[in-house]
Amino acid sequence: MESFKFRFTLIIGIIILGAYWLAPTFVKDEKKQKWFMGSKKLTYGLDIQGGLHLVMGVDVDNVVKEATVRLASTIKQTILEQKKINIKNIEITNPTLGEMKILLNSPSDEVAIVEFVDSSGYNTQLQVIEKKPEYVVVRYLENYLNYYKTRVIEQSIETLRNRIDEFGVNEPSISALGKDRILIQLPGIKDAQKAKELIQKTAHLEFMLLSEDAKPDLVGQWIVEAEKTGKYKLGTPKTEAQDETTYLKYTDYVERINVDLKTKLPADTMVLFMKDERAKTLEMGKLPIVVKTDPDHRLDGSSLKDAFVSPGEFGKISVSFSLEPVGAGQFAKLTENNVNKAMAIVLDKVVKSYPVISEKIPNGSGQITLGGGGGDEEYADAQLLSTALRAGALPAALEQLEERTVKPQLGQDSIDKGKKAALIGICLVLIFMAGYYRLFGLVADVALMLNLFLTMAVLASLGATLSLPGVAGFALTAGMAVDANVLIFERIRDELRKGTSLIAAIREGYHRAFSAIFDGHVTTLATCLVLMYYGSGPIRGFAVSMTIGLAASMFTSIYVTRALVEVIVIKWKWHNVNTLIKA
Amino acid sequence: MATQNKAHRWGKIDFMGQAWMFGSASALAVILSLVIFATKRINYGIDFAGGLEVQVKFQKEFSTEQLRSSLAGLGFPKVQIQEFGEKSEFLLRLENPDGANEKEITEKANATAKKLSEVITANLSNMGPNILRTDSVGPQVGEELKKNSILAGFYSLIVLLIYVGLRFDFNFSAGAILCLFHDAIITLGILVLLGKEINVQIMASILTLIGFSVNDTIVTFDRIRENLTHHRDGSLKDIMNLSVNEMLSRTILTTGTVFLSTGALYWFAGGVIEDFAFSFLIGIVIGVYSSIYVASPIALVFERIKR
Repeated sequence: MESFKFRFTLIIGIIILGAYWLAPTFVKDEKKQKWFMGSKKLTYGLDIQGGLHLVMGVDVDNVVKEATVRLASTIKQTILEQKKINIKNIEITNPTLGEMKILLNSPSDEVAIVEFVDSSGYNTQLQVIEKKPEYVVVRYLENYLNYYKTRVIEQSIETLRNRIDEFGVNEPSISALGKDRILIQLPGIKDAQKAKELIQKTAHLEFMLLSEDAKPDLVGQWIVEAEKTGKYKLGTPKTEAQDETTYLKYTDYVERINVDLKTKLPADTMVLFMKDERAKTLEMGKLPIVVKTDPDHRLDGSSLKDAFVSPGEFGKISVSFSLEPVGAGQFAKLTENNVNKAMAIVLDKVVKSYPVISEKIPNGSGQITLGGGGGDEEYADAQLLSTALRAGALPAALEQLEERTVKPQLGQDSIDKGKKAALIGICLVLIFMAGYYRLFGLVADVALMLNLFLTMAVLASLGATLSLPGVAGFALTAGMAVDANVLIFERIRDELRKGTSLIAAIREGYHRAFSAIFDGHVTTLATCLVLMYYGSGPIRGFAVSMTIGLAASMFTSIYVTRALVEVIVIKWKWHNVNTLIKA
Repeated sequence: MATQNKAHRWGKIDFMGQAWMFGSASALAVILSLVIFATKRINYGIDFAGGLEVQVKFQKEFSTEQLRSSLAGLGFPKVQIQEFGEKSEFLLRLENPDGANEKEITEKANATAKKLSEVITANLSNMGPNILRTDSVGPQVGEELKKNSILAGFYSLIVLLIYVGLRFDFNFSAGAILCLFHDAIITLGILVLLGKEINVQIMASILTLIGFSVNDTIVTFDRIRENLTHHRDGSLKDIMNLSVNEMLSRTILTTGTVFLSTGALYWFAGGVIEDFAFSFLIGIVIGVYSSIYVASPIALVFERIKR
């Protein structure tokens, strides 16, 4: 065994780490929260705290179908242009897999068509699955299809997030659920109808030129002054009024700021905001961007057709986009007049990025080149940008599959009762252990509390949502942690009855009980991992908290108790068996 | 040790000797549970069945009968009413309406839930109604949850089979798995017999009790494994008896503590947690019983068949 110094340093280190993880959940003061930037919080599930729970089905298949139809016509066109082959027709045989039959006019075209699919830009998307003199059958590569589907879901989530942020929900959670669902949880929402309407609405994309006359530092200063004199701020309205500051939601805030700065800003401009790269939300950090509002310097983006990440020149990553013909003409004019100037891409009045226009973009399909060497980070940025561009409209039809509204007071009521009950339950166990095993029982109690604490801390660091099944997982963990100590202590008592000396009995007890505890924990852990992988929603919540709890229990009920027990017996030389374990 | 008489040497209580009796009782209970599943309508919660639920609390006391007749008069004759805690709180349930597709069904269900809440607020205003919660779950979601749960359960059984097989013996892992089935089926059987709602919380509690039961079984197996190396002169049956006897104090202690804390949940928490705790209390008892009288004897039977 390692020295006491090492063991206790490790234990205390882990406790401090746990406290750091758990702190953001309990520190309510916003100023102090800055200390924990980027760390996540433990939130209560809606079954505990109330709110609106929606499950939306995303019609991914339909998106793939549409893309297939579009692809079929482009392929026909490209083959004619590049290979000078006029094919008879393209028959779509299975739209959800992108499977299509290219019918040939002459059998001699077969080789050229196969070569075309395999070599041109299509080889990352399509594969040939059947070739005959009369026709060639192609289909999407499975990887590509999966990637495409994920992209559709990501894009829908981004759009929904933008819309919901506008609603001013405290901590919305929007996540993918399986392959074609989105789970939206809005804690504390009372007006379900309004929230649902908001989700269904379409967002608004604009291109706006940046004003060169306004100095960013100065604008920043003006904003601070305006906020101070007007006593308002961007943020979610707080129920408890601490001071006279009014919190405004984003659109109201932008409107107010622009009214206040109207005299100071150059004519025909307005100030919008962009999220600071380092900040988690717009509220935590925003950069003011002054854009031009006259019709010559802005363009409505509703004619955007598509946007996707593509490799740019010199290994740089860029985002390609294309506009419908109507928008393309206007876009060509706008870019021609403003070469070498910065253009902001604005989504629902939030600036997403402001690339510099390098040349005229004539045909409505342009590229926004991002800096950097094309690493993972740039790629992720590019994806975010393309998602934001496409987010102007939802990519797929959403249908509501599940809706639950829970009034907070119901949540509060059951939380209070449940908390009280759990507290009584835990206290009974603690008292029993201490009464039955005396001092060692107290050691086990400390380990049990530490186990619950660490489990919560790890859950918080993952930003997990704690729902009732998750709490059930806690119960099982606590039970198994207690069981581990019972196993050890019963062994020690057995040894003591045999006449073994105290120190040897402790050693034997831990040694012999280990395999039982280990196998018990690992078996349950293994099942939990499976449940986590295959189970959905509530089952997964249960499995996650169990997995963490069991891992923590191996540490607390074996390692921590042993360190404490040995320090009492070996270092402090406390040898009174009756007060220690009552054998 | 050698001077002790033979019966006492392998433990005070002859668990394995009694096993045939308890084993048949268990088999009977499992069969009865299966019969219950087949004959009695299982009261699935809306998580599984789909449908809509409205939870309402009145300021004045209201009997189920009164509420039923009032709602029937207001155009909702098919509402299932369940009393919730006090006499003034009720859970109203409706099945999903018919519709051509998921979307239509969900839309209709949402409209119905809204109408039901409105009707109650408007027409029963003299009773001081307060709508606490409305839920609607489409049929597809419920079906999928059911399917996923079964799949998850199935795969975790396989993992268990392999792990116990590797660490102990495949006879033992058969014992552990049958024991687990035994616990889950009988507990569910009792819940269905009592007409309890089978929902996500109940499922969580069954998962939890399976966890406990597996742990109990493994701990006993571990002692058997250890004793097998120490007492080479005993038969497997003797060693099983000895091990179960040795583990008796631990079993009683652990089960007692868990029972104690779950008991507190049952008595004080109420509502959703009460049902969870209730099924868990039943499950713990069955779990402990089975890890003594089912798991090891089955391992023994398999051992004998192999010879």
